[in-house]
Amino acid sequence: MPEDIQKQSILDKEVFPTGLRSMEIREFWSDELKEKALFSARTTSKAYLDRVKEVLADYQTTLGETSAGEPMTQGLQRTRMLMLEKLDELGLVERDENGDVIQGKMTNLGSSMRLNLVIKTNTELANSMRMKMVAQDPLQKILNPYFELVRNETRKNPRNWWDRWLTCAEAVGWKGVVKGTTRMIARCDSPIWSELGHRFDDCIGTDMPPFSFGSGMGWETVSAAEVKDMGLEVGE
Amino acid sequence: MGLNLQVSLPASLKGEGKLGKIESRKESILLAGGQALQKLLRNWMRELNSSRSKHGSNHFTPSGIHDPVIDGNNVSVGIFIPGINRALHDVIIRPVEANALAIPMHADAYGTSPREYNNNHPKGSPDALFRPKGKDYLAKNDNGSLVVMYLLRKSVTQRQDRTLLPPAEEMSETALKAMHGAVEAILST
Repeated sequence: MPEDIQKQSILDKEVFPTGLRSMEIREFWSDELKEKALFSARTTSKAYLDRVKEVLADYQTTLGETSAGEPMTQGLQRTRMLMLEKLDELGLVERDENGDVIQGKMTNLGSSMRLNLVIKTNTELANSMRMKMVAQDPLQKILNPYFELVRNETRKNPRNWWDRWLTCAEAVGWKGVVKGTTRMIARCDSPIWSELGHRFDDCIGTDMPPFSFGSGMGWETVSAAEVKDMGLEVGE
Repeated sequence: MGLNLQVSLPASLKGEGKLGKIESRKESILLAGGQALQKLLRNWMRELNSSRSKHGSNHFTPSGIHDPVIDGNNVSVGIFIPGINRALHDVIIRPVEANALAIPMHADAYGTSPREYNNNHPKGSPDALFRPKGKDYLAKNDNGSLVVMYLLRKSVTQRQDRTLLPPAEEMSETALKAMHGAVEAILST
């Protein structure tokens, strides 16, 4: 299997230990740094982040073969386990008096919630980065010049993205935003994407999905023909 | 497990046909077909994610659909989602590294292997796993009551589930339509 862009985009990242909280990262780091760095809030161990980079690069790729001779994919569970083992080796897991990992606490690097968040956020950002790169192809600019904000994963208590969409569309004067539809579609280069990733308190501070931690949101491409067929107007 | 879906350049576009005039853009045309197939699959996985999960914690996520890869007159899209091969046939799972497969039987065990569970609840913890002598399960002690956490099995058969992928005709039609669309776009520029 040739090298995948998504995997490569994780391998190309620079490990960047930091003691900053997510809000501070959003405020003080440039978007460029956030895109290039592999980091996690309040994670100062380079050894751990090196391991995170290694296992994330293998996430959702083929590890080997099953006994039935079919390719085996590294899933979320194994990725999380490998990260926890590294944290344990470095003594960075918070455990209670029984030795159990303290769960439900985001500041505990070893809690399943935190590990899932690190894996999902980095993978989704890499996925969006890949889509952004593909969208820059000259033919793609003609065929699929739009992105649609879509829900990739269900949530028990989803945030109201439609409200956010309208707020951000107003803020950027509807520039590149498709009007007259309840679908959240805009040109790939519309400023609305950056607005969605910076405007709200829970934002990551990037111009691509998932925009906010644990949002479950992603992009899908929309063709020029589809927007034309729907007879929709695009903000200038 | 992973799966590779492949689409070929349609005969109508090969050789002396339209493609002859725009041979240098063959890769772009194939890429358009691969991307359309990728989009169809991503949307399919989103639908599976919303219909099969209460908490969005299942494996069916669009990020498991990889980029199209071009090889000669073919383009393929890789799907790296655990269990996707069940779309094509029954799957018999046997342990690769361990002696047995561990089937989660309790909400706390779901989505977690015994190895990960043991990391979270090491020996000495009241919630630590143990295997009662002669039994084929792993359990924990809950105030004197035994709670079965995992069943241990030598193999498990998962039945084919064709609904994990869109119909084959829909996949090939989507890719072909996109390739024709790309040709038209190239010819019109």
